[in-house]
Amino acid sequence: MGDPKQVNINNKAVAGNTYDAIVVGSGISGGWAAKELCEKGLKTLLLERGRNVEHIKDYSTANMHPWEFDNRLEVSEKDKLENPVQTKSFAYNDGCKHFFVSDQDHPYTQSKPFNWIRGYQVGGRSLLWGRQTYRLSDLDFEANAKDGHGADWPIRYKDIEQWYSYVETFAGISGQAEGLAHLPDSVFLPPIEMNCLEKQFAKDIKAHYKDRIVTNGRVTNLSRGWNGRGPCQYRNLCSRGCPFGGYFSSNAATIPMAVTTGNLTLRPHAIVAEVLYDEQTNKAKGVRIIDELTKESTEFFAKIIFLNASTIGTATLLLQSTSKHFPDGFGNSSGEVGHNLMDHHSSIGATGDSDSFNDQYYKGRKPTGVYIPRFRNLNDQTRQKDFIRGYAYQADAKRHEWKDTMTMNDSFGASFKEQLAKPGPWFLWLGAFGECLPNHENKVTLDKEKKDKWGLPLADISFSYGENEKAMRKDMQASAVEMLNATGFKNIQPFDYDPAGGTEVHEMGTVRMGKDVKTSVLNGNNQMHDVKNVFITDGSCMPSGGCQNPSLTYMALTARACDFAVSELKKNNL
Amino acid sequence: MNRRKAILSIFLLGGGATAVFTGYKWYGIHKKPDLSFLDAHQALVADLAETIIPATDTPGAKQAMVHLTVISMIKEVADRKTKNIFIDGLKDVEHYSNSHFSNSFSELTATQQIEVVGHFRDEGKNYSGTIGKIKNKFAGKSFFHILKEYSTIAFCTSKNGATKTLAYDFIPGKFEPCLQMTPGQKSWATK
Repeated sequence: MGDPKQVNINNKAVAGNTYDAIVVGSGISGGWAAKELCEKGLKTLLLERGRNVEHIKDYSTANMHPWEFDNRLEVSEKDKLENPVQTKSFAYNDGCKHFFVSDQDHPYTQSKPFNWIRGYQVGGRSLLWGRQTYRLSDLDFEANAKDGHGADWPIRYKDIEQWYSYVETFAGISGQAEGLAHLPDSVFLPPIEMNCLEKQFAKDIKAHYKDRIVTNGRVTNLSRGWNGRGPCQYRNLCSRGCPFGGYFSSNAATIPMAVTTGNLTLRPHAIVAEVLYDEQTNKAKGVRIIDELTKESTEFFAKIIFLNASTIGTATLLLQSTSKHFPDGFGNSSGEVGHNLMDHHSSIGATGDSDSFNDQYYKGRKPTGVYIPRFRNLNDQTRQKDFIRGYAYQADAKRHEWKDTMTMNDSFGASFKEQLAKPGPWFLWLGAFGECLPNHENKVTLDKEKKDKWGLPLADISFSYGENEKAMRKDMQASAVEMLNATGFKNIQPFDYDPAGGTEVHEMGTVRMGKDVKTSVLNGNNQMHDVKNVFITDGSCMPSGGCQNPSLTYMALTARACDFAVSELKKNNL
Repeated sequence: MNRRKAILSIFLLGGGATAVFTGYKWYGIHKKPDLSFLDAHQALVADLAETIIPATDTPGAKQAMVHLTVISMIKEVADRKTKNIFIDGLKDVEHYSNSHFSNSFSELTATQQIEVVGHFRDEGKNYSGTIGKIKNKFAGKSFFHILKEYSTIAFCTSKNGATKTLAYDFIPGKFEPCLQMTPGQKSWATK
């Protein structure tokens, strides 16, 4: 190839910084993209804006006892003051707070309130997630087309079914097959068993209602060893990172597989500032990063680029990647980038106490409860007059323990100590998770003036729930109370914390897929309509959200898009 | 929604009518808390915590060093209102002990200590009912309830409390969903 001395420094740098594929973000979907692309033989650069977190080695709190934390995992006033958003997450405590961003370092603005809860490190929020995994069905894929909200999904269940199976077979999903058309079964490991009261509740619900069932929570906690990981040890300390590999995270599962191929280059501390557009080829030629620590800019180049920076991160990245060709943001000829932001709405339901099973207890802390699949608006018989779409419940039963029994009365002294030591009565918590309609007005834009530490514009979020969600919430709470009444619970307490959007940490929809290039950003293969070598498979691609926990769908869409991208690459179409 | 509105209107009515009267009290719970008082009165906190959770056939609050955790949590976890109520409460306990038993709390017999804590419990009853909830929200929890809850959290998460009074199972290894309780079955320390 000629005299190396003739190659100028710039070209050398380009050659050194060139890969077959670049993946932006190492969370649940980015980890999958890296694994799939590496396994298909592509030299892949995985860019992560935060620090590295190595499986096991970097789970610094995983083996700590409660007494080893100064404030016993109670969140401090200082943390609440400095991190007013992150501390709103139910998972936030001293055991895992190092996996949440600092609100001071990573500000954003809120035209209308939205809790943007984030984890900037290798693995992202796959370390912190709730691990619940449910397939979508055609009830969800057809919803937009049928009721006219949002853009029609360009795919149907038949297009994704095999990819659900594919990712489940690797990840490992514990659950019980139920044969429901609207909540299709996964490829299951044995379910994580119900305890006595949950079993009774399941039996009673079945007896009282023809339209609903209670099934074991479907989770990526492994009920038996799987692909060299797990099984779950029932510590229920998942969000600290699991030294047993008992649940699915990028760190435990996908990234190690990508590493073993020899094709992965992992680059932490790499904040992607811009996707670079090539006017000649009408393709993305690469990305420009800013080093988180040195603030130095570097460009990386590749044939294909996967954006998995999370829903709001990906939208922001596209909006800030402007060029002569894309003055309103990369691949944004539709003007839809940033719009149609969704979350699930939740934190509503009821609790009730039970007189049963006073002589029964359990051993081990299971990392999931039970699930009542959606039963509203499935068909004409279940059609609701006040709202469209639907919701599902998660529930779990336990005995009251010291943290509850300590406030049950005003006793103190030896009798109080005796009371603390005894298992209290059983109770059941029933909380609903509802679908949020896609709405153009719920959006992410760039703040016109404010910049972060790296000189990048802040995201501005404007989000509110609509009338449909409000009407649905009434039924979510009323049905919870009704079910607890019907199944013999006492002291039933309805609750509604009415949290701002984002609190469920299921952001979706800012870079939606669709059939029409004028109203959507991605096609049915998660490929940008405008730029064919860019694929987006994080939550931003979702045209609607269903009421199911969404991560499993991101995994399946990612594996599917990787398969498509590599076949297109081989056909020289990219 | 209706219930919440009703509560709000009671709160506003009550609040408006008593605003002048409670001005001094408002200052009392919002002033800069005297945190140095805590370190100077570790023994008092330890004796109060021991009265809440005494040594029996298993170690009590003192042996579990509950006071250090309570003081740390008052400093770092409690909001300003709770800090002030707790610190002022400690001062009130000393005052009450001196005026009724001519001695500081730590010097009293166990029976006298129970009597003093009983007094503060009766004074601070504020859990039950809607009014109680509003009172808690507005004025903060009573000294007794702060003392009891912080001592209990500190005790049940201590090594002594978790492993001796309660049952601690750090790595269960498996899940057994329905187990017949045994006589003297202890409650799990963590969930």
